[in-house]
Amino acid sequence: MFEIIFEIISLIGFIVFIILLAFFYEWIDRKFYARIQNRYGPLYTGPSGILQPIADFIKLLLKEDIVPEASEKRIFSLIPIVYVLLPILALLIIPVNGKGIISFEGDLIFLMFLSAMITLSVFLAGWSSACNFSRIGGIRAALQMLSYEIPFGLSLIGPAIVANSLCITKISEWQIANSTAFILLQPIGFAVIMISLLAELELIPFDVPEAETEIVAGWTTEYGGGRYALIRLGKDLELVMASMLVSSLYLGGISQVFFIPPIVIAIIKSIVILLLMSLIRALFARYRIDQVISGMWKYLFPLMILQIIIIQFIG
Amino acid sequence: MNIVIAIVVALVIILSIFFIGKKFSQKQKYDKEKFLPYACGEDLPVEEVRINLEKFLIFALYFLIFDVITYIIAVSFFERGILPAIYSIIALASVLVLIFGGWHK
Repeated sequence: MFEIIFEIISLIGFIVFIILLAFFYEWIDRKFYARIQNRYGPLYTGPSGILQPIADFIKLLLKEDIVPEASEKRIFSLIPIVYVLLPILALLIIPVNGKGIISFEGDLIFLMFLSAMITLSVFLAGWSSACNFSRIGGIRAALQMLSYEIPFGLSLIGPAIVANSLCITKISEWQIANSTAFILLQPIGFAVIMISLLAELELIPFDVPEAETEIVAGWTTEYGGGRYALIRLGKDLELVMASMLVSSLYLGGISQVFFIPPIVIAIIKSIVILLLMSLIRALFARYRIDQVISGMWKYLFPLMILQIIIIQFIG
Repeated sequence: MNIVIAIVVALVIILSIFFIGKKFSQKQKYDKEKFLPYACGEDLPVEEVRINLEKFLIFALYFLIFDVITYIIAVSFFERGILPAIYSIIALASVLVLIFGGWHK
C-alpha cells in the first residue's frame, strides 16, 4: 500500500518537473530563435525572461473561455486535454531518468501510436471547430501525417533492429554497453528522424497546418483562454518529447556519467537537439503542402529504406 | 508502474490545472457575435470548405500500404540478413514505381 502511494507521489513530482522543463525549453527555443533574428526575445519576466512562458501560460488561463456555437462542443473541449496527455505518456515511456517509468517490451510501437494520435487529435480539433481556417488546418495536418509518418516509423525501427529490441530503454542501454551512438552508425536515420520530427511538431519548414500568413492560426483559430493555454503546453511538451526521444535513440543513450545523474545528461543532450531544431526553424522558409508531401515520399522514404537495407547487410 | 495509474494521475493533474484556471478566469455577459466562427472581419461565404477528396484518398491508400510494410519490418527485427533486405528492396521499388509512374496525377 505504502509503495503504491510513494509511486504515485513520485509520479506527480515527475509530471510537474516535466511541465516546468517544457516551459524552460520553450524559453530556450524562443530566446535562441530571437537571437538568430537579431532580436532580444523574452526579456523582462525573471532573469533574462526565463519566467516568460509561465507568465504567458497563467495569463492565457485567466482569459475568458469561449466555445463557438457552431462547433462540435464535446470533441472541441476534449481535444486540448488529450493533446497534453499524449506527450506526457510518451515522456513516461522514454528513459528520461535512465529507465522508462512505464517501459515494457514493444513500447517503441506504442510511441509510434502516440505520435500518430497527436496528429489525429489535431485533425479532430480542426474538424470540430466549424471554422473554415480550422478545417483547412486540420486537413493539412492529416495530409502531412500521411507523408511523414512512414519515414518517422522506419527511422525509429533502425536502432531497434541493431539493438535487437523494441524497448526504448533497452536500445539506450545497448548503446551504453557498446559505448557507441546510433548517430555514427546510422547517420541517414538521424537526418530522417530530425526532418520528420520537425513535421510532427509543426515547426517552421513544415508548419503548413498553422501557417500564420495564410490561414490565420490554422487548427487553433477558434481556441482561446484555458483551452489554448493547454494547447500551448502540449506543444512545449512535444518539444521535450521529441528532443528526449532523439537523444535516447540516436545520441548514445541516457545513463550516469561519473557522478552526474542521468537526468542532467538527458537534459544536456536534448538541449543540443532543441538548439538544432531552433536553428533549422530560423534558417528555412515554409514549404507548400504539396512540396512537403512529394518531398517526403520522393526523398525521405527511399533514403530510409536504403538505410534499413544497409543495416540488414552491415549491422 | 501500471499504465492505467499513470494515465489517471496525468489526467488529474491536467484537469486540475484547467479547472483552477477556469475558476479564476474572466466571465462576461453573453454576446452573440463572440460565439460566431472567426472570419477576419469579412463576410465569408457560408458554403463549407471543399476538399480534393480524390487526391486525399489516393495518398491515404499509399499510406495504408506502406504503413503495413513499416510494421512488418518493425516486428521482424530479430530476423537479420537477406530476407528482410529483399523485402525492403521490393518496398523501395514499389514506392518508386508509384511516385514516378505518374498515377497520382
